[in-house]
Amino acid sequence: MVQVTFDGPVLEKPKTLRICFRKTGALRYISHLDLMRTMTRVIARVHLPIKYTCGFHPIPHLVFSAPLPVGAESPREFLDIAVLRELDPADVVALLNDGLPEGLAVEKAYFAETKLQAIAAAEYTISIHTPSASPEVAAFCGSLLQEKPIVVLKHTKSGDKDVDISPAILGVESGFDEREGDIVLRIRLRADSGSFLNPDYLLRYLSSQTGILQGSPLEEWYAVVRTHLYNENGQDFC
Amino acid sequence: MCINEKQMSGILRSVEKPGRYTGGEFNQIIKNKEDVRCRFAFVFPDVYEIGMSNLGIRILYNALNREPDIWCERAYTPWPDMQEKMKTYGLPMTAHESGDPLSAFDVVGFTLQYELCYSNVLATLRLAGIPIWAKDRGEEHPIIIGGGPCSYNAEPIADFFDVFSIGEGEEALPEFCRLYIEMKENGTYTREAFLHEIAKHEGFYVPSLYEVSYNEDGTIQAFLPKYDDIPTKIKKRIITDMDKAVYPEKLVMPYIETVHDRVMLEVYRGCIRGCRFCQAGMVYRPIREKSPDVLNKQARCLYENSGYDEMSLVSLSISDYSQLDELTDKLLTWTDDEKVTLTLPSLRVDSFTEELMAKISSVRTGGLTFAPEAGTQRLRDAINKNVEEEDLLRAVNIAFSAGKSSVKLYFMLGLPTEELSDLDGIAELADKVVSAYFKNPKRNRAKGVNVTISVACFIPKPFTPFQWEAQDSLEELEKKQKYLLERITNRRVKYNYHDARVSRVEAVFARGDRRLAPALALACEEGVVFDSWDEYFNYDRWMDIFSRTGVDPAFYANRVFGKDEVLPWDIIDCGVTRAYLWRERERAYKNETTPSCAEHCNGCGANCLGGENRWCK
Ligand code: SF4
Repeated sequence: MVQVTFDGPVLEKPKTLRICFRKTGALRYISHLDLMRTMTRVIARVHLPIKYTCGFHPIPHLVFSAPLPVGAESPREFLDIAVLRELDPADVVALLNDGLPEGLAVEKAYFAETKLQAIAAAEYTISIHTPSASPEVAAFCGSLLQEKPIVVLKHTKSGDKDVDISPAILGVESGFDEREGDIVLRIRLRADSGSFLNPDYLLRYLSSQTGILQGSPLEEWYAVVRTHLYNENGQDFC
Repeated sequence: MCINEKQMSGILRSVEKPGRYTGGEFNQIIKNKEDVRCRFAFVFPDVYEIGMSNLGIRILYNALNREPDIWCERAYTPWPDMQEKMKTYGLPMTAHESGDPLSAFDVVGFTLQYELCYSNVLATLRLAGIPIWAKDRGEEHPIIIGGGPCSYNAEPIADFFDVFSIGEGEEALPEFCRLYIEMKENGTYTREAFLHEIAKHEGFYVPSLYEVSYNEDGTIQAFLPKYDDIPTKIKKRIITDMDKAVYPEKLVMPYIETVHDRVMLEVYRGCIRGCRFCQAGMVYRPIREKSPDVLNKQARCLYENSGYDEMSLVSLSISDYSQLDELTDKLLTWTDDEKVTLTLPSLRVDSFTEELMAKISSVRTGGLTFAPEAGTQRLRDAINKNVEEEDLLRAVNIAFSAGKSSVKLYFMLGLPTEELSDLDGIAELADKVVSAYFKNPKRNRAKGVNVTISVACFIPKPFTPFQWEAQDSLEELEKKQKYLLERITNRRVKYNYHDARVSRVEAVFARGDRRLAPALALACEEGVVFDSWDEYFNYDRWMDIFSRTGVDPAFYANRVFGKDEVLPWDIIDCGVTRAYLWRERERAYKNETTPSCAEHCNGCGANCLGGENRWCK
């Protein structure tokens, strides 16, 4: 049990503390809302001196990087909180890790200069296991995702609509993993709040175009990992 | 079949809320299998979000896991979409913590919270590959134990269980496991020997050790123990000193949202009231309170270990807690600072004060709920709901003055002695609440008033003064529901009512006996599950199953049971005596109320169970 009390001097102005954590293993099946609840509670448990919302039912003010699709893993996600006292980020890391499961472990925390809104793009590695997989099929899948337009049925606030998602696809590389026999796609998608694209749409599109991933989960499966978040200059966001 | 993690991911992605199945919650208890001598799987036979909200399981999880050599894990009935996948891909039913199949456990326990979970109990056993009939299970299978409110009349499911734990389980279940370990280790264990032995311990009912005989008219003739050394009646267990009782210090924290996703602080057990329809008010007697200091300490600890921002004070009727002011004052010294919201469910109108309102409104929004249960004073007296109309109007006025504008009122329809004028009374009472709002000068003028009346159907329950009463026929219940609908003309009043068909099936199982088992087995065969969910409940299918298994539902639901008839639950001694219950029934027919235990002891019999309290004589 890590014991720390946050009794440093009160800051004149709250500072943004950025927490980098992963979402892996069984925790990849919890939704973004579930993640928010989990973080809210661990922060309350360790008594982090942070800003709460006002009103009848105050809740801690948390800002997360773009939601991960349910089932997708990520080695590095971001959470910004506004801390009210001087503190050592290393203490925060130790305390949070004490109260978080392996799958949500915190890698580091630091006072941030940037804003999460500066995240412009995300890179995903999608591995698809399917009996028909071959280097040719992999290349074909890659080329399909580079066509324009790519029309999918998108769930929006005003109902389901056919939308061309190709403008949000910034880059596609395809490959074949000989050992696993998997199609591997490296895909870069827009991730700024206005035009964030969920990679699941690409999988659904591929499935409808090629017939893959329609069979038994014992024979066909896929995995999605969000490997990078980039700023608008294409550099790793931090 | 062995499924790898990648294959599992496809299955998990294809079901609703995969977080129901992935486990790994903070504060879950993992033990080293080498150190464990008894493995106990605790099943809540409903979906994860409901099971995780149950206070009883949280308490017992802790009571068992306190013992270093017992490992209690959790399991929940998978939602039908997952059940489908499990069948298709041959996945076993597993426990949450270890992921080991239920069939490999020493003991599998089911908590029986409502009758409509019976189909889920059987479906869960089947998914686990465990024979549903107790007689078909062999030495290789786990012992199946049941407990919880429905075990006060466990007869309809008696043939599926090896044993029931009657009453409070905090001490009984570890004792049960200890005997199991002892017999396993000294070589005396066989299924039969163990069950015979446990039947001699107080509070354990082993149905296979009792022969039930029936009269020609279908009523029960007798329960006969098969051996001389087992009791003729099973006395319920209680915890005598609540301040020393185990409580769930470290709550297992769900990731996905559950129904009661908050700290539940159990304030006391039992009830000083004696509402004549209420089973909980009778079977949890005598009342035993925790002291404010102990509660405050426990509350703080629960908060520190969970980070929950809401805390609910739980008991049958919170405002009857004799030291409520002291407790809330103590809690409020820190809950506001920590931004923890206090909620008080189960408020009674007669003890709802301005002071209490101020305490909870400082931290809580949302509407208020009261339960007058009946529409006229006459009927409220008959059911012993000692609530006056004035009390209700006073209570809603306090709420309205404090800016509240929505009130929910619970009623019951089909109560014994009910007449149409009592239903008129429900509509009139709702109108009076609406006009109280408009007459209240301090009301929040920006908002319109909102009165919801929620009307359930009366179900005669074992161990209540109304246990002998008949439920109205389905036609009668539906006619009354419609009648009431026509009486409600005020557009500020919203009227909800329960599906009478659900209540009828509930009544059949509530007062059922062992002859219902074939119907449940057939239902299991035909894939009936999740009866407590509207989308899965199917009345016609149940009626069909009853008729194919020779069950007359009216015999159980719509018959007046005889004063001297052997009742299916006569095998259980819950403290409260039959003589007291009959006396209360007689008073109901004379519209006579009975004072609460706080006013004077009415000699219900629960005092002979022991327990610390200031009332029982
Ligand atoms: S023994 Fe008396 S005081 Fe105790 S629960 Fe029964 S009626 Fe109430």
